[in-house]
Amino acid sequence: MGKQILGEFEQLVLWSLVRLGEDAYGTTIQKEIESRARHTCTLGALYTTLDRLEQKGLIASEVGESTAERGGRAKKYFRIEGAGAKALKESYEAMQRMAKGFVPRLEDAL
Amino acid sequence: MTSKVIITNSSRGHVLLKDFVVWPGKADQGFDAIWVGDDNVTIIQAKDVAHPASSRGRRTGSSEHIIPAWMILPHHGSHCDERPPRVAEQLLDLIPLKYREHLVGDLEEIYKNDLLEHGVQKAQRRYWKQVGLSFVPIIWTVIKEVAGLAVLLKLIR
Repeated sequence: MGKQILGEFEQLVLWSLVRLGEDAYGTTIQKEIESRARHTCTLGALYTTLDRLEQKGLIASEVGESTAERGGRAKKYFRIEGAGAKALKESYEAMQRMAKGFVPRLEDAL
Repeated sequence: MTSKVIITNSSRGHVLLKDFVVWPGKADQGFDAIWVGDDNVTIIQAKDVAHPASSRGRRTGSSEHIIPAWMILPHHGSHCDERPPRVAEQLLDLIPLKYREHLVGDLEEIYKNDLLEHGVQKAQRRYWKQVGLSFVPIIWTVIKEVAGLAVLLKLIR
């Protein structure tokens, strides 16, 4: 099969890049994950994950402008690459196949 | 008398938030808008508005008080509050360089937003929390990388 296996947090990060488009950098990604996924997201965990995804070739980054509100520091923008989109789609579809028809069982177990 | 005032100065591209002590006579009144110049602060008071808003959004008939900037005094803390806690910032120097600049920038951006929304104390608390929580995954990653290299070296030998 040779497919990329993405962890849960990696999937959340990639989905947030898809959602944010060109405005995806540390702070906005963190906010997106915390508000939509209701998942605690520290910047440390986020940057190590982004670094790992970049090393795998799933995302790319570029350094943006520096702003006064960031103490003159530059933003680092991230975008999803073709390989990342493919891996995310496969992970999502795999999860859907696994869950199909069995969600009601979760309700029973609760 | 203290009054919570947000002073913005878009021309300088920054925002300050403080609990200011406004010069006596201005403190207990509502503000409609504030402009900050280099040497003075213009306060437009909503209470005094007599005419409907003009097309430019600035209300004619409102009273303007132009007071020197030095008359607006910080109520507590100092301008240092605009900066994140120094010790926490110094701790971030321990983080590997490849993560540091962008992470510190993000933390500072969050701090300044918190400062506006929640005030100094909560902003500082949240900054410390973010710094503490950010350390664990980064240090863990560094340890794994170093351990991985050590194993690799052992195998080569």
